[in-house]
Amino acid sequence: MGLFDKLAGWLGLKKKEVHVLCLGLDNSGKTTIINCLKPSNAQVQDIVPTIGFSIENFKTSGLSFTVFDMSGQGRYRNLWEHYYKEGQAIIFVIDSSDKLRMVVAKEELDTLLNHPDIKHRRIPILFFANKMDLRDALSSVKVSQMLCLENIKDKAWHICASDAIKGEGLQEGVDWLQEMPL
Amino acid sequence: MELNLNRVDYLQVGVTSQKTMRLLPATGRRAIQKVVIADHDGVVTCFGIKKGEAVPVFKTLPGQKVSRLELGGAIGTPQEKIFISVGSEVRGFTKKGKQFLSFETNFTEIIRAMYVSGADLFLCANYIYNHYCDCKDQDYYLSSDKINDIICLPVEKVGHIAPILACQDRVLRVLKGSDLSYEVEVSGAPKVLALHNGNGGDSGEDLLYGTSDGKLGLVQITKSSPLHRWEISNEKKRGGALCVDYHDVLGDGVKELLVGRDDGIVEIYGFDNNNEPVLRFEHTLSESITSIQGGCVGKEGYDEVLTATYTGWVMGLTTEPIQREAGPSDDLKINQEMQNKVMNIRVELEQLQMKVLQEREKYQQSAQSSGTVSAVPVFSVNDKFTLNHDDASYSLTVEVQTAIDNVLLQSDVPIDLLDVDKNSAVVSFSGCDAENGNFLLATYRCQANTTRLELKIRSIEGQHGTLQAYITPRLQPKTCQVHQYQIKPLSLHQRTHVIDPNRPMNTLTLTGQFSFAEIHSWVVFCLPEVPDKVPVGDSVTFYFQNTFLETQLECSYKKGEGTFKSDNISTISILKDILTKEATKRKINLNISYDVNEESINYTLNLIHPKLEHQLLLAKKVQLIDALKELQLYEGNVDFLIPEYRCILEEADSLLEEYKKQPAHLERLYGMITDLFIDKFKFKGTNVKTKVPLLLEILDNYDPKSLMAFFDSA
Repeated sequence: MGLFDKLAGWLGLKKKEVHVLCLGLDNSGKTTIINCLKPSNAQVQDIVPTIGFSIENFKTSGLSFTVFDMSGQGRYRNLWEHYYKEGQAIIFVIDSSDKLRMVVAKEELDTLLNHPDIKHRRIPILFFANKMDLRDALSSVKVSQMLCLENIKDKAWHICASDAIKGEGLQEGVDWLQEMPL
Repeated sequence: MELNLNRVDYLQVGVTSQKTMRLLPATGRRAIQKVVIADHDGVVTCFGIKKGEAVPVFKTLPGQKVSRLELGGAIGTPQEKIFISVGSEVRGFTKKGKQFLSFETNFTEIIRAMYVSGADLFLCANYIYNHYCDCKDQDYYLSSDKINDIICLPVEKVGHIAPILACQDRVLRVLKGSDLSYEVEVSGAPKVLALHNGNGGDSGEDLLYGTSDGKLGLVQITKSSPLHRWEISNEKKRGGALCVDYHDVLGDGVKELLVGRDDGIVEIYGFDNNNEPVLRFEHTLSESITSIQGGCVGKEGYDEVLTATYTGWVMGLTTEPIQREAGPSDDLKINQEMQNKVMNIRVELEQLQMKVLQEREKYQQSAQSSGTVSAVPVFSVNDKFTLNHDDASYSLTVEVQTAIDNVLLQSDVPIDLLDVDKNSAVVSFSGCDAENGNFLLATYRCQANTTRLELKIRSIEGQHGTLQAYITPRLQPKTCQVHQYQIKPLSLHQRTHVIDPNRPMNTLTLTGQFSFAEIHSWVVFCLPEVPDKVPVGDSVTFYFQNTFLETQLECSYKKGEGTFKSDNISTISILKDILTKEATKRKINLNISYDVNEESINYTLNLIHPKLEHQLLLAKKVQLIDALKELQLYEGNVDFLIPEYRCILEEADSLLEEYKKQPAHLERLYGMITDLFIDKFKFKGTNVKTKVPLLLEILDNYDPKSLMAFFDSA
């Protein structure tokens, strides 16, 4: 980093860059959430299931995010661990109306937390209990109970109920992420 | 699909009447609706919700009590004109709060019910119905009993104006112009009417009614006859339906039925494939619900059920999740909105406390001086005294706008107070002197923040008098209001539409110099559920059913003549005594003749038989429970017992519960049989009071044959 970059960083002109991993089962709404966080002119209209992964960029008031939007389909989930090293924060998305696959989400979360690249790093995890607009959606508290989030002791975590189609609840989550030391 | 709704409190206004809150239709792109509500202070408030706070749009000045609020507008346009009925006047406001209509009707009484359809205005006072078109008088009808609600089928669908009156005598009256088209009999006194699906269904003729005893039903009002579709009975003994609405809360494209009851229960019924209602959700608020509407108020995109209660709280049951965020900290984080609310209330409370303290000092000082009068604070009490058909008991509900401190009950007739599960009040019975005509003194001390108290009272047929309730709310200075309730001589009789003509009947005929109004007032004195107003025409017939024994009574009378028929001789005997007493009071000579049907005695005994047998069996079973339980404990299993006893053990809990619920049932039945026995012989002119111990002995070893033989022989 050159002198100019450092100066710009101190003055707040250049935003700090953060690498974030966006994980979760298929059809939980990861791509929709990322899409909704992007500026309105960069948003795409139709969202299709992600193949492999894609890299997205967006900026907030303090940070510049680079997000690895991973595919959640079963056959692509083994790709996740290749990017664990780069991740400085994790966004984990849960479909809160999908009670059946909540156990699958929990299993994936447990494998993630026990992975050697993740286990000993104090990286913040932001959970989105997505699709809260659906009538049979579980509340964020209920989701955190089903995923046993209270057992996560050595990492900062936060759960937000969100509706990615309208963009509700996303800002609160990103605000929390910004306050974390990254 | 299960439904989770969260309660949100929005705003409190004054005491509200039935159907005085509506949601204005959404305007523009943003789908948040505004609420308009009118209260007893005459204030119409319109507000919207912004960030959880109520932001007023307009508020009118206080005035007379508002009895109804309806929305209207030209047909085909959004219904966003607000109409309120105040006293005998109808006022109209635009959605911005500008008054555009003030219409003084020629009613002498206050308006009780109102319906608006385009330029047509339908108004009802106690017994009068009037139809106005562009404020010009069109049609008029005088109902024979009190009108509770009015509605008109959608004109654009059915093609003609068909107003329907919900009347207290369990009848929906369908009108055509100024004349009665036909009557629809329903199973309870209808309290509220609504168009099915909000638009009358496909044909526009489907009408939903809710009764004061908690039933709901759908009836199709065709041109010539009614077609009953379904009825939801009230098995869980819930309160009367006060308000209904249709809204798609589940979000499945089918509108659900929302019901608000007078005991604070909100219910949501969905419709299954056969269009039959199925209960989907229920929630209990602590006060009676006067208005209910479905819509979107708190946050766009989240449907909610908005309710207004008697004390004026506007509350929502929303589909929006409350707890949105959580973290690893153990204690739940209080969100910013909640913190602000707590802060605001704290500040407000401090200021009010200061103010009240100062004013109280001032009051104390001025109260010392002579020549001044201490005024009493006025508070409104919403009370209801109704007969339950299922268990032949009266339920008295008292609701006050603030918390009740205590309620004192005094009665000059012997009555039993029964336990009500919902009641959290502490009862204490005071000893009283029956010789001074005081049969009951009981105090209910209510726990904090109870605004509604429900009591159950069991009366005895034949004993009449008044029940008084002294209600003291938690107000400073402490004051008390007295309310009186009449316990009529034939208190267990309920109005019905038809009776079985094939039963053996005893007849009592009265002739004499009395007017139609006089004999009507005597009947009003004797029987519940008869309108105070003298019926139209020169003769009238009422049918009644005894809720305890299911015996019947037919009263038909006109000027100078009255005929009373019943299959229960005790009913006739009570009527004879009371009517003679009333006539003597007014110094009118009555000719009384009666015709006793011997068969009727056995008929009534046969009606009593199954109840008596059930009670005796129950008592017998309950006696055995303890002993059987002890055996079970010692032996470990009950296989050695005979099946009959095993059966008792299995049902022990339900038997005990039933026994506890009906403590005086057996005594009541004994009393009725004894009365029947005495009355039977009284009509023959013999006094058989000495034989009562013998009768009781026979009842103790009950056998229907020997009982009937005793009735015949003695």
